[in-house]
Amino acid sequence: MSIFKPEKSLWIYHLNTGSCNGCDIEILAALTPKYDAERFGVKLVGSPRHADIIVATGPVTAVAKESVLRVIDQVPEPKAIVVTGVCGITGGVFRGGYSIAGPLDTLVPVDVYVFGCPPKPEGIMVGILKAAEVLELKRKGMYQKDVVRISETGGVL
Amino acid sequence: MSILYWLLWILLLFVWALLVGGIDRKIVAHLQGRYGPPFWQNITDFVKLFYKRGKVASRTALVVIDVALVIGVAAAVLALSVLPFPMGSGDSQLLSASGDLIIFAYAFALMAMVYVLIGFGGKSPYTLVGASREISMLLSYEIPFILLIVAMGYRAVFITGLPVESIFSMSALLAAKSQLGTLLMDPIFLGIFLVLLVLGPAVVGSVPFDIPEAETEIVDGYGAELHGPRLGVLFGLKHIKLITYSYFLWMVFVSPLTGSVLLNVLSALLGSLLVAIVINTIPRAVSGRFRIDQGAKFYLLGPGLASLLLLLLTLV
Repeated sequence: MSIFKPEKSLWIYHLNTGSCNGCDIEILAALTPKYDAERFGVKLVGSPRHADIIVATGPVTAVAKESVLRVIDQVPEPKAIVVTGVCGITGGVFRGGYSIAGPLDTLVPVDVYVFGCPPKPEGIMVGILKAAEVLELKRKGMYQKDVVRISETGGVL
Repeated sequence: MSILYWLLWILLLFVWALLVGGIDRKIVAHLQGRYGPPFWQNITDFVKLFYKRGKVASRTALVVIDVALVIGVAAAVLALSVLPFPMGSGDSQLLSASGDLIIFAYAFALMAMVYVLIGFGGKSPYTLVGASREISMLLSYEIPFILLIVAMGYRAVFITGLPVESIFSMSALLAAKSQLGTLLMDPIFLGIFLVLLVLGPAVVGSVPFDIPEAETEIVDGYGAELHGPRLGVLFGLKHIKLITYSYFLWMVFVSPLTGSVLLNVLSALLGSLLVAIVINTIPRAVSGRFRIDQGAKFYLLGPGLASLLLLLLTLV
């Protein structure tokens, strides 16, 4: 029954690893009345210990690296990591910069990429729902390390 | 047999508490022009938390947190055991003693102390700030709450003419209710009811007085270090606290008495939902969070003085 299905309750933690704020306001836009991610059971939580899904933005700066790893370590299993925006996926225009320690997938395994600079709220919502499918696979022990790629408008690439 | 009915009623009330949480989210979503989560969302959230397994910080004192959660569940059961439940004949209580009104007030203070203990057990800066804010809130709303309980006891004895030993007993209140039809017919009880409604958001920890858990400032305050099943118990405890308080206000003050058990149960469930919407949903939809000094000042000056006045009025 879907009432008792854990993947119907998605508590997300928004992790900024040194982003320009472009992706961050799009994540917040996904929670506003127009897009209303809460209808899928999505709730933004304050503490990483309460979260199921980490929605990360930014290229992981050298200063933020330790904190980012500690925050991700605090999220209880099963967890999924969604990286939004090109900076988080490849480093973007900051790639190879002296102050960049990322991108995030060189530090921790990532489950969903949402492309775009910044991605649209539709793309972020599809990313979160794909992460819910990853959570279900992890709970059932059928998880294979596939990365899901979402375009900025929400199409699966 | 009565205890079996009572256990059944507690289970029903717990599921109802989670449903009320979901209905609350749905109503707020519609007020904001959103579609909102399904109304059973909080049941899903509660079940999900028991699937999660995480790491515990080495500084966290898990023993303190576990003991606090057990005390919290016990306090909730204690509070519900002295409240009238609608499955027996009329307004019957599971445990009835002279002074059970004091036990009820004590159980509520104990539930707030549980949050404080959880915060101090977490030992993270956020949980410590949350715990100290919870103490500040407790000190500011507990004074009017206790004054109102005393006023209720005096007034019930005055109305019913019962001996003075039954001054703080729930049965005196219920006798007064059956005499008046509903306690709201009496002006002093009406005043007490209104002040208790104003105290509601602070007692159950909802916006604008969810200052101890302020997600955006101190990452969920006292509960920041909890995860998995422990967070699930805390989540359930918050819901049961809301429903217990709403249920207390409905059953003691308003609830009409009928002969049919089914009607009594329906009235108790829908009535507690109504009170929960008034003290939780509407303030949450229309206001932001106060600062701790504003919250403390508001409760000491507003309901504090009002409760003092009401107590004086009952004594003269």
